[in-house]
Amino acid sequence: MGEVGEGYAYQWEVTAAVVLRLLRGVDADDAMAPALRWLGKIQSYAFDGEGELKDASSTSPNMEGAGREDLDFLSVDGRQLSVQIKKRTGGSWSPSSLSTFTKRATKQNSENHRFVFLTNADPSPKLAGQLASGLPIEWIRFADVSEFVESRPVIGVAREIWRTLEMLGIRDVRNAHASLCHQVMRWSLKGLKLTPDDVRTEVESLLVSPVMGERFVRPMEQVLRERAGLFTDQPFQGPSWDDLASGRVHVRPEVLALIDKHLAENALVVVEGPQASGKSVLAATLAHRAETRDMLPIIWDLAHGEPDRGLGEYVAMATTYARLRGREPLVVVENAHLASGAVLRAIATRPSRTPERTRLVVVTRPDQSFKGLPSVDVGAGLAGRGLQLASWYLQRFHGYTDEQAKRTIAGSRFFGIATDFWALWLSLRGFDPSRGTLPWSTRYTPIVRSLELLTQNPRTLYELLYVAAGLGRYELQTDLRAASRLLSVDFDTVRHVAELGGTAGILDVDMTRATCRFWHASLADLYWDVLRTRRREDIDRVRTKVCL
Amino acid sequence: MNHRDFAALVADDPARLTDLNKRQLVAAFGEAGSEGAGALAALVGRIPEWLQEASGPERERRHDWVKGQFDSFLSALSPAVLVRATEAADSFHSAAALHGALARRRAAVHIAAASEALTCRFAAEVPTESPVDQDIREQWTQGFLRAVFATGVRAGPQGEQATRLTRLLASSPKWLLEQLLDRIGSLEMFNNYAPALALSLVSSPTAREAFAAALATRDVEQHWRLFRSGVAATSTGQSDLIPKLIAQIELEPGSNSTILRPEDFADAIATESDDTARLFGAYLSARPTNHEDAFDLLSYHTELDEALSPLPEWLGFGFTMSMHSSMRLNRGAESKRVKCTFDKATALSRVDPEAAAWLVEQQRDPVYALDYLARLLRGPAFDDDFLRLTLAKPLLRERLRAAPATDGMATRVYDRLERLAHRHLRLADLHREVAPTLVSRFRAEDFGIDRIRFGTSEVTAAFREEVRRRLKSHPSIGEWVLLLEALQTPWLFEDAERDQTLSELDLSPCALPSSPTEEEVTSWVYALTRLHSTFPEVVARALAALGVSALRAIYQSLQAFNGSSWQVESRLLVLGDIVRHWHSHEPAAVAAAMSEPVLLHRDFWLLMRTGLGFAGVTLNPPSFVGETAPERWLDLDVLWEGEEQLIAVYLASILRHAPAVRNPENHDTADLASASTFIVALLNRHDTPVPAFVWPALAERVKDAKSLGREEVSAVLMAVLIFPDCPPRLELLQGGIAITRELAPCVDETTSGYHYATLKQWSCTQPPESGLNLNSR
Repeated sequence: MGEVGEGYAYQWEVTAAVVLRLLRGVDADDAMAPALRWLGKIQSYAFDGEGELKDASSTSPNMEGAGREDLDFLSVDGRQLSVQIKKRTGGSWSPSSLSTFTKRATKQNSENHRFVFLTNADPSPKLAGQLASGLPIEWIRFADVSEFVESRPVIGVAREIWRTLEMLGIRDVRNAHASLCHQVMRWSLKGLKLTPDDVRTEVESLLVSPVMGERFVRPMEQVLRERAGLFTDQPFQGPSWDDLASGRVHVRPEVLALIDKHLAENALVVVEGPQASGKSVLAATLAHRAETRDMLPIIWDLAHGEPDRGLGEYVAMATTYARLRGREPLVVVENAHLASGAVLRAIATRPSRTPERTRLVVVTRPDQSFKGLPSVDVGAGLAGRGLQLASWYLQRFHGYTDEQAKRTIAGSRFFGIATDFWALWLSLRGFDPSRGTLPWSTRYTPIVRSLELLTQNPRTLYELLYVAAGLGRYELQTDLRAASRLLSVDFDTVRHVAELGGTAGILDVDMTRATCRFWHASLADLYWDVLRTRRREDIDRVRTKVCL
Repeated sequence: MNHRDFAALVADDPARLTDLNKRQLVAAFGEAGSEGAGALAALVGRIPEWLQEASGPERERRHDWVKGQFDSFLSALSPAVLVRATEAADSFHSAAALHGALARRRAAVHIAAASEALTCRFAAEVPTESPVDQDIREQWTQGFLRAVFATGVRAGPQGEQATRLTRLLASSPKWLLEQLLDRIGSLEMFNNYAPALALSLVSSPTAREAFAAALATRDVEQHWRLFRSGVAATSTGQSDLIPKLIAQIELEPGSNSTILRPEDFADAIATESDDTARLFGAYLSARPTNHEDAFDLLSYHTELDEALSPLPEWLGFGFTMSMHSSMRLNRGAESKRVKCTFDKATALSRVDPEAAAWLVEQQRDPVYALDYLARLLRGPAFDDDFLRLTLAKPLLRERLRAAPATDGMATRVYDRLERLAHRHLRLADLHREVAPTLVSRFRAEDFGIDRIRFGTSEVTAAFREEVRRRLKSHPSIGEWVLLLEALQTPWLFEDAERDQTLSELDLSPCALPSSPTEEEVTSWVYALTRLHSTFPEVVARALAALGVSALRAIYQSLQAFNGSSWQVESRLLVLGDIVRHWHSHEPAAVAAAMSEPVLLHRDFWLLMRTGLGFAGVTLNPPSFVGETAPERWLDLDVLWEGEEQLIAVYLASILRHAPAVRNPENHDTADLASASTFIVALLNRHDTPVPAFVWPALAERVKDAKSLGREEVSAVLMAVLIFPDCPPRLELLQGGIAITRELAPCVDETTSGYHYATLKQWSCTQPPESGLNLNSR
């Protein structure tokens, strides 16, 4: 045996590992899994720090009265799983060393109450014989006692905990590990009985920002809530959470049904379509639906480059992140055509069985690399869908009947804009229901207003916008260092104004802050027109400069 | 059918039209008078729905009729006929409906040529003041919109569209122009002719006035699109039209409410292309990291003009073939396929030469680096100094030299260097220095004649060395063939060198094991077929090296001599060589194998696919002196041996299966007459009389042809005539001529009565009592 009290460290570490495992919904490859499956949905966790002491003094009078082990799980069906956790420094467990526990288990064991022994050692031959002949204890050879080399665990329970924490993107893993074990110790010493939600909330509060958070995993709700929304002066980033929640976004039900089918069968769907065909709106809608179905949508946009640790690892992190919160993840990979190889690798390395796979929504422009994967082509019949969208808009926001909407659309024809959903959207927002005409100025109004709102450092920002719009009309990003050379303005200033443009919702600055772009080519087109007509004096310097 | 029937038929039941052919339709329409235009417009409008109504075979039948007869009828409507119909139409509105209906159909190619007639009717009949009656006003508005669509929609260059539209708009009173601008959203296929319409709106003073008023007081997207198109279209040449328009806009009350001032907007549009080109030039000069994206954009080319929506087909869809290319697309990589709407050459010519040299150096992909160079060199600023700067970069040379074999990279670099070598002496030097180092990383299939022929002496030496080296390094059989083909390239080797290389040639790549697999045999046959005409001595040596079991395996391979039409004659020659070699070892086994039904079937059809010397178009009839592949096959000793000679099976089968008449499906096969010529020549060469089985075989063909018609029977009889005269032949001809007399002419004698006409010509020379003269009974 080791030092007095040393066993507690093992007990709390194992308890922390088991809690993490349960919160993540992960089945480990040991005997714990069948026991937990038998238990079913957990109603409460009971922590007890006295167990070690109880067992150390086998004659403790409290033993019978407490009826609790180190960790007890109570299920919603009235089942109970009592877990005794013990470390052994050398050799095996003899019947006598566990006599108190075996007596309790023998006495209390029933159809609805099972006993589990989690330890780092094997039973002696004699004890093994007793277990084989009906001693009502499930023996689980759990992870070893932790061993550290240069402050990093190389073996044992701590290694399992660290791996999970690293997967979650925790920056200070050592601290998080210690906090978690400390929390478990507190619960145990207090003998608390907690619901899974309590445990989840407590663990989450230990691990969330600033130690862990959005830098690694981007929950989509958070992203969508940061957006201004389609019905504001800055609609360019796409629909906001409120837009989705209030039903102001139209997606064809048959498309959603097909996506659901693919996700159910393959846990994967590739949403494919040309620019401004509604892919991202569809992805946002899926995210919103996922939230209402108690899933956790998480996004990675490859326009910002690949995640630091690769896309496959990001999906794994997102999965852990979501499951730790008791929810199934839905990972949306935006702009997949920009790194199709990385996406295909992430898909290829998923588990082979569909139920274990994280549901993936891959959003891409048409790309041969994804041929053969379950997909939904939102680019097919784009003009028809544009008209459908227009019809929905007229009915939803102008109270038209289906017939009236059809007549209006046939009258206005929506030439040339029905396939570009951005231009269509901006036009629809200014649709004149009394005359049934598509206006011209309303598409420029939000642009003009967003430029008027810029107050800081406007000239350099206007100049940068001119460059970015000129390039963005042809779907080119703007390299900020090159822009700084072109404008003869120092790089820091250019980067600063790019961020101002980002804050204003006009520009999308990449994560490394090396490039910026307009959200869409048709928006760049509109900014280009407005800058060159209404802001001529602001861009005159750069216009003259590029002419030299 | 007369003209009344045409209108009535259309009104009653268009389904009955399917009984008519195009000529009858043209004649009926031509005589249809004032009702014709309206009736045809109604019919054209009704057809798509009529096609959709039916299903299964009926729908197919209707569709075939539309494609085969009705579209031909529309194409056959000449400008003169359409002008007459326009003038004779019972009203301008009927005429406009006709023009609208036909303008939608690609097949009606001449409708634009009759637009002047429509404009004349419009000018003559349109009320100068807006009609008080709302229905009449609406009718004129609809008619005018239809006329604008029909007159504008693309048929010919944009300039012609604009000229036609300008005439129409100039004839329009102001009230109707206002109606047009008010209903601009309901113009059909607006994108197709928007630039032309814009031009005509600013060209005619009345139209310009109405347009200016609409721009100033309305806020309609389509108007401003036309404004943009108008500015772009007049930016060269007619420069006073837009200032006039702007001046008129500014005179209108409420003109200040436009969100972008027209004058500024016009200026922005007019300078847009130039400003963008300059911006791109300046951006590239600023050395951006995404230079490859920019170069790909500047290299993108598409033949599809997205603004011009194609005319629809009857079933509502149509194919638009489009070609795309770009720096990345040419390499099979993804490209954004965004079209450049500014002048690429201006953009590139404005890149600072030092920055351009930097960009070339920064491009890690050597092929793209040379693509950059090629594009930049088109600009005047990129002269000797630029090349000196660029080529001084050691990194570029290293990358070019190190171009790997993977993905044909070395070959691509080689090809680009070769193209660039002619542009400047420095590039010629670069080519001389780098190209020879790349040859060792070429794939065997890249040793093409053009690469070798146009190389420098250093390159030729490198090729020569590489071909020799690889021939000795145990290449695969596929590579071996390619290397031998390279060996044959003129100027690569002196004759003596080539002969020596051939004499030392290692034949192990084309060796076959005693029990080869089907794949090994296929590769072997493929290789030997390719070499058969160019290296007969190598083929002979390869064949001589084969063991009996390998010969047997090759002959029995169905995969190697399958039904493809690839190199049929050479494959038959190789097969013949195999048979000859095998026959010299195991004559009985060969005879047995060649009689085996599956192999006999294969051999026979391989023979037939050669066309027996008649395949394709030949100026002179082939001469049969025993040198063609089918002759050499039928000359095989084994076919003439034994009591039941296989040659009889071949000849009878030829007479049975050669088609009587050639058509597009069997154009590579000899017809019966050609096959008969071939057979007679063969028999003569072998000094053999016409076998008795020939006559019943030909009689059977006459019998079969009877059900197919007079032309088919005539074709068989022309084949019979090729055989020497004899009693069975006379009997056969008499019977055949009698049948021919009974049969009706085919539907269209002008295109498919050749054989009957020839037979008739011959029969006229026969005495009436012979029973062979078609003019006598």
